[in-house]
Amino acid sequence: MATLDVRHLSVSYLTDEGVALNAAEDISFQVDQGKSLGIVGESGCGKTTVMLALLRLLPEAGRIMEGQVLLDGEDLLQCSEAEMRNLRWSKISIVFQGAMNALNPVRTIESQIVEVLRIHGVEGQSQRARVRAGELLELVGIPPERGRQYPHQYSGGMRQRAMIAMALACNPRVLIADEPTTALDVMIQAQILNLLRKLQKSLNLALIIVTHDLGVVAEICDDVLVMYSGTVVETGSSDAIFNHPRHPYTERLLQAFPDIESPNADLVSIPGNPPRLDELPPGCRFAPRCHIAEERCHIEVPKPIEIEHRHWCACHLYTGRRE
Amino acid sequence: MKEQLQEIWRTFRRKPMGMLGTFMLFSVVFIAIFAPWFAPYDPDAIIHVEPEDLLAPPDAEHLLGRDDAGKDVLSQLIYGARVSLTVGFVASFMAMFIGTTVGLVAGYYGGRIGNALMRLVDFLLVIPDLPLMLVFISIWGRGLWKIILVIGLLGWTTTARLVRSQVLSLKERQFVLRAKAIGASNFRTIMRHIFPQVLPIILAETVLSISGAIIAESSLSFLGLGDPMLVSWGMMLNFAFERAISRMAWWFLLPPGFAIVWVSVGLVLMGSTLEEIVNPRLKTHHLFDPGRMLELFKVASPGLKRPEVTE
Amino acid sequence: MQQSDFLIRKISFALATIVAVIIFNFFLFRVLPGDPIKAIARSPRLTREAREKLRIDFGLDKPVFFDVLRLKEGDVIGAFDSQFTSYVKALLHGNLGISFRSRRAVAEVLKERVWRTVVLVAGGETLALVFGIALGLVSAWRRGTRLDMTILLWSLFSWGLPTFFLGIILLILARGYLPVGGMVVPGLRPSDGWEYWIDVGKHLILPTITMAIVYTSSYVMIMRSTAVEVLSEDYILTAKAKGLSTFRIMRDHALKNAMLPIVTMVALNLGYTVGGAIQVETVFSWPGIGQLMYKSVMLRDYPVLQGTFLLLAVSVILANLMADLLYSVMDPRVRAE
Repeated sequence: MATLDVRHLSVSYLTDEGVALNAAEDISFQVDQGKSLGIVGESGCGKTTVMLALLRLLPEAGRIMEGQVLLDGEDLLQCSEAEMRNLRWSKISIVFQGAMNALNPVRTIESQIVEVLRIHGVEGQSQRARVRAGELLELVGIPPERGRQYPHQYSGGMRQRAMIAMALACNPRVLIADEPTTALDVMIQAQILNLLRKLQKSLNLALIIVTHDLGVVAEICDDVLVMYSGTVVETGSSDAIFNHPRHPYTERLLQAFPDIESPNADLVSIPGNPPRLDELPPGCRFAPRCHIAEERCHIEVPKPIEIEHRHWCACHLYTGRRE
Repeated sequence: MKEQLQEIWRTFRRKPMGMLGTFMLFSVVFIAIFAPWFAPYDPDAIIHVEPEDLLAPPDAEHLLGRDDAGKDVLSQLIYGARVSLTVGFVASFMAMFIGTTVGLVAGYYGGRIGNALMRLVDFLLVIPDLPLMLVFISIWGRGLWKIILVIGLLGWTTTARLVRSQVLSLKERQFVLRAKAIGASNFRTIMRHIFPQVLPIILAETVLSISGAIIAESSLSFLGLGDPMLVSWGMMLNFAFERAISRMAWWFLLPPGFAIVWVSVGLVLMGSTLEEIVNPRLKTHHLFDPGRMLELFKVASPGLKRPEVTE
Repeated sequence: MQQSDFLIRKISFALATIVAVIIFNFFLFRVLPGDPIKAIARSPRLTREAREKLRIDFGLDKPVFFDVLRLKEGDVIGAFDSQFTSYVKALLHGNLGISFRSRRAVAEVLKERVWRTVVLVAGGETLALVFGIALGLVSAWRRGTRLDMTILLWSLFSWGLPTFFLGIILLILARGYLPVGGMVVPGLRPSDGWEYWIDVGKHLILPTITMAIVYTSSYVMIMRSTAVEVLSEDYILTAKAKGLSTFRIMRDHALKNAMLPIVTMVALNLGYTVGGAIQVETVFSWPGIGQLMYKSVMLRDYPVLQGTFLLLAVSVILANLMADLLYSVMDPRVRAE
């Protein structure tokens, strides 16, 4: 059984006038223990929204319209708020984008880690908790003594690593890393990715990496989920997605990625912009920008079809093939 | 610059709180200007009073009753508006003028002058206002102009700081550098290029400070330091407190105070709205930041993140 | 270390300001038109001996700043034997002069009254802080609801309300239920023990509430806007993701950050608090420093006025300094400036 099984999750935001803007529609995916899933997509495509929904941390205006989030078989969306509070961080934790402000500036790093340890009962005694915090920092390559410093005294990369240490404090089943490398320079990016890969293997984590950077995904993810404008466009193993992508969007995405082997090739970009949430097209959301869109694409929403084993694609190119 | 002001007015017109404040203020200004038409009696007129007229409660002929000398409270209230408003406006314009000048000079020229001026501002800010005003008036004596001066001379600091910080940020902007490059004198640069940009903010701040000035005058008058010849709202409260408190003559005690509140609240609404229009991110006021309060009436503020309860 | 730089800067500014206030205080009373001391000393109502004694007491026979003649003679030290130096010397000895009215040492009168004002101000500020912070947090958490709007409307209203007028209103409302004037019922003495102090406490209620109400609104406003900002920061989201309860989030994460501007606000307010105390003490006849200042203005008791002003100004300056220091302790980022 997959550790995390998300089924048909849909999230909307309510505007001041009460209109529901559909930010994520019919999202389904699975992550197994010890495997990593990369969720890829342009900025604003709803990746972070989905992640927040998993932890039920949506802002006031956010609503989960339907779906199930099964963590080890238990539906998180059915839990009470109190139960959810217990599960957060202890079963599933998240490292936020650009840990700049994600850490409380007026508390020491150590105290923020100790806090989680005590809240979730991992280490009740403060002395032992501090020791454990030190161990966690060491795990991510930060000298334990630096735990008593404040976030502004850390570099960007260190803060990110500190956040990772904190996220692992309660030995969660699932770790989500939301844009772990954005806003870091390339050298640090590599460090962070290596760290994540190492930790994932050694701790047997179910890892989800949310990013717009295909390179990151290629580096460390076993599986890939491509999102566009709130919908799942294609999902499969890294191999499958990178070597034989099926969805027109995925293809263009890969093409847009500069290829080191042909440095002189023209940079291909996808003309146009993703649709605004209040102006969603009736059919496939990518249809307006798709170079092989047909009439059907503008009318009917394509459902995900399993093209090969564990390789799904939501495109009318393949719709006909289903039996 | 004219267009800028027109634009501000157009935006302002659409803000209900600002318009309410404007109405509140101008209704009183109007009544004050046309006092003889509104006041049922002339407060200076000699009248013949019976003992039972003293501190008489309100009745049909005297809507707010009579004071300890038998005079009509309502008329005094209306004429009192003239004094209170005058002091408020004049003192605060004086403060605005001084503050703007200091701010412009300190910001534009910077260096030692700028630092020295700002130290002066810091110094004045740290010294408690009311005691200082008390000390000044008690030595100089009472009088309308003395009060105006004292309030004005102590009230310019906020404006100065505001103007200076604006000038500092404008100083390096293109149009200023261009003006200097073509040889415009400093004075000209300041007046033609920098000042118009700063004016809207000064206006907003001045409106707010008028209410502060009115309250300051009322406090000084209440404490017995007002101009003995002129009856402002503060003076009325002084008389009322000294002479009517034991009889609980609320009709004499309360109206002047509420008048002050009415005008102040109106000014604060106006000023906050202006401030919000002119620069919503500004933190200016001593006591609190009225601009932030207006968030209440603004649309589209960042959503508050709360623990989600699925519906 | 960086923190000591910050401290040194703030302390030297405070000291410089105090010195400036002292000079200013002296200057104000001695050199302005209507020099009160001179006027009193020349008053025909005094006997010649009394007048002479006054002149010597107040050093009016000496020059104001320094003696030009002596300077010319080369007597530099002697040249500074002036009213100003006498004043400073006296100050350093804790001598603030003699009251015109009561002939008691000003310092003594102040000492007697200080605690009464301190109690009033401390009580009022504490109440204001507690309610201001609580209401501000509630307002921010329940932003946009009717509760929020009510709180904000009230704050707006009380901003336009002069302190003394609020006192008058409360006085009218509470008359008959609570003592409205003075500190204690005549006849009771400290030697009466508990009874005395309870009565003092009763007399303290209305003035303290007045002070509290006035300052609550500014704390509510600041707390609310700060809390709104703080609650939308990323680390609050992290705190939620960690599974902390609302209470814990408020207490362990939001509060400390949101308190910082409050500290600044308290400091800024100190000047106004003093002004408020003067008004409240006058309305309720609470015999503290504020009432003393008012009385000395009315009675033209200039030494007392001067001494009171000095005390108040220095207190506010020192309190501001403490607030700065407190802020630097609370916000580690400031220490790195």
